[in-house]
Amino acid sequence: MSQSGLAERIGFLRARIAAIEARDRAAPAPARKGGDEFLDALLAAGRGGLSEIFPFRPSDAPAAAAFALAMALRARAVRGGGALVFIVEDLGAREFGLPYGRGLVGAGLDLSCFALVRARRPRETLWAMEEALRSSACAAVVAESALDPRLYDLSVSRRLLLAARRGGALGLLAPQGTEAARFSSAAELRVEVAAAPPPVFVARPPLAPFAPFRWRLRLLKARAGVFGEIDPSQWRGIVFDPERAAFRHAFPERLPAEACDRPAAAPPRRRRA
Amino acid sequence: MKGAERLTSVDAGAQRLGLLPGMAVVDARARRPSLVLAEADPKADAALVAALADWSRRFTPLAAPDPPDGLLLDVTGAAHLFGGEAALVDEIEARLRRLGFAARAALAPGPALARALARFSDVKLVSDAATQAELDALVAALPIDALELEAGTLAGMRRAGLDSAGDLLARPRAPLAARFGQEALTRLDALTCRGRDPITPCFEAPAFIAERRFPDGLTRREDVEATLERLAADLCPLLERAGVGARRLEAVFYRVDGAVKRLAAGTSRPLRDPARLAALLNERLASVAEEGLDTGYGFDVLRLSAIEVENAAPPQTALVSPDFGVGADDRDLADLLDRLGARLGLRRVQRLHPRAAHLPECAVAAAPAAFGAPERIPQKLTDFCDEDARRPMERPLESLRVFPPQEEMRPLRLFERPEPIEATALVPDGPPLRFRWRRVLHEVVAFEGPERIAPPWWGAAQDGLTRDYFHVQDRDGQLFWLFREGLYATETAAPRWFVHGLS
Repeated sequence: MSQSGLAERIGFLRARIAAIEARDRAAPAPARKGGDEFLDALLAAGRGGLSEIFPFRPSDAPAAAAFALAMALRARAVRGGGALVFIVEDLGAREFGLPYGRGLVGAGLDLSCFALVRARRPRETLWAMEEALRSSACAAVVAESALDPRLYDLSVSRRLLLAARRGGALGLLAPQGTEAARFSSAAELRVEVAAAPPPVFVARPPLAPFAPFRWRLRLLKARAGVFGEIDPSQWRGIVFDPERAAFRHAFPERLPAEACDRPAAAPPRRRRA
Repeated sequence: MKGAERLTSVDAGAQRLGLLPGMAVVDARARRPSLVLAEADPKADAALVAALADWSRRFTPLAAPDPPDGLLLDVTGAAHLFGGEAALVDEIEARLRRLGFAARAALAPGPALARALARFSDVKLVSDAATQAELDALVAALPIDALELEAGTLAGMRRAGLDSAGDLLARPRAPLAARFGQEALTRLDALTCRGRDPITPCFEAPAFIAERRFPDGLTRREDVEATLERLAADLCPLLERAGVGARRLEAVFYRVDGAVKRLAAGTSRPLRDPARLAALLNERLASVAEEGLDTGYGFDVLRLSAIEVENAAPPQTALVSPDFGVGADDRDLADLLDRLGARLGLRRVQRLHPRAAHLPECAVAAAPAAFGAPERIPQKLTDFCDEDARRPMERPLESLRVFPPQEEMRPLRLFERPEPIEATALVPDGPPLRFRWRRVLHEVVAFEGPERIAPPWWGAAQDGLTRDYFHVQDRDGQLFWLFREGLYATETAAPRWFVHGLS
């Protein structure tokens, strides 16, 4: 087969696949290119569909779940309403604890539209996630589960993706205990999250502002073609602002000076957004 | 009993030999050395009678055990379903015989008369149109044991020469009451259906019932599901007429061989829509079918009843319903939570309610979505919040209060029980330097605190020690919420450290 004929066929197949995908989607997400590809990839994936949040180390699972919660809050803010369903498994609850209402309120969540579902097994988690995504009442569904690559594969993830598109919700899956490379799925975004280590300038400093909402993450997979190349080995710091429900870049820490060194009147500071 | 082993009941052959209940075993063995004895187990007997009462609910929902060895059924108005009262009595006897019991049944206008006829007489049926004279004549033939009085009173009556209820009826009433007590007269009146029986069994019957009977049993699951849908469609007009919606449903399946299976489903708001009720029950059926809904030879009676109902005004439908509107969201969310709860279990789908409490574990209560918001604030440390969630409350979900923004930071995850750790601190009441949790050593790099939370002073004094909470971050960046329990030197000499939450 000639080279141009091959390219033609590939182009034709791509167009066919795009048509099939467009048929399922309720509304195509407009690709808004802001300054940074990294944040844009995150925000675009957050408009609906399925995302996977993997922890970098097994002990980073609470940080991954917190990041999933932050993405869910952002999705809810974008949609302007809707419920948030959090699915926890018994094993994960024993290992890392259950979501705490007061902490969630501190993250900017309204408890009246939050529901906590405790499943027994990964199979139940996946079923509950599909049910919640399919109903149009949810803005986002976060599921933490000890998944097995045999249980969660291409077909299962494709079903979850279609359910999310039909219900207009964002599905966030946070698998625990298995590394990301062993899964192959139809999710649109795959992120690996680690807790951001504190800067060690001063001995025993106080906690940084927004300390629970600081992470280091890297994109393992994003919807290709729209945002150019992504580098899966590059770690970026990110911060979630709970009051505005928005993600920001993590700036290097600025610690306030000691009281005796501060000037009498504070100079006007320019805020960098 | 009375210092010797005694016989509690004897069969026909033994009766022919002259053995009676109450006779000592040694006397019975003396009469017939090769006597076969079985140990009496009153508890198992009572359980068997209760199970039979459950089974007999296929004839009427008002059925109760009549201790020690009988059943009482209220079949007012239900006899026509079985082709007449005589046919009903015959069918009950036949079915009991098929189950392996020897039974005698009787139908009468009053419960005491029915009980007496079944036990002491051969008459099976007393029609509704019987006059008082006929009833008196019937009662006259019964022995005075039918009155079910105490043995002393009965012995007194026998001594006075009164052997049958007819003798009592013929006497004037006042001397009888003076000699044997008012109780005897009340029982006599109950027997002749003149007065109310002082002992009426408590029938628990739900107010809204729909049922279907099948001559052959249903064996396939699809048939059972379809029948449940039809029953829901039958039940909903009844609910609508009363202006209520169902909060808890129960589906009872009666198997042809006598077993009874029950299925219950709860909802978070009163429902009247047959499609949604049927969907809930089918979810429940699906979750049961995984373990195995044993249909055996089939179910021949299916009954759906609404056990708990609540007032429900008909919903106001808008002309144009919005896509993702607020009202639609609440309803959809409630339906989703009902579906999840039906499959996973009602207690596993929870909503969080903030509470005004200092202790972190009681500051938020997780209540199952099917019940409302919990009311009580726990007073003691041991009064865990789960206890409130076990009681269904009537308050609707809209009462979730949004409480004022808090200044203190709280972790995103909390353990159900704080886990003990080994921590070392510079000073006994200072922040920790490093700690060991689940055999891993963490070094504290940054911390915030302490925040002092004392147990409620109005509780018992020995309930709790003061806690000093610290948010700490270790070298890898993980956040922990630790606390030290007990003030050094004032409350305890060796304060212990725990980790309560992660962020």
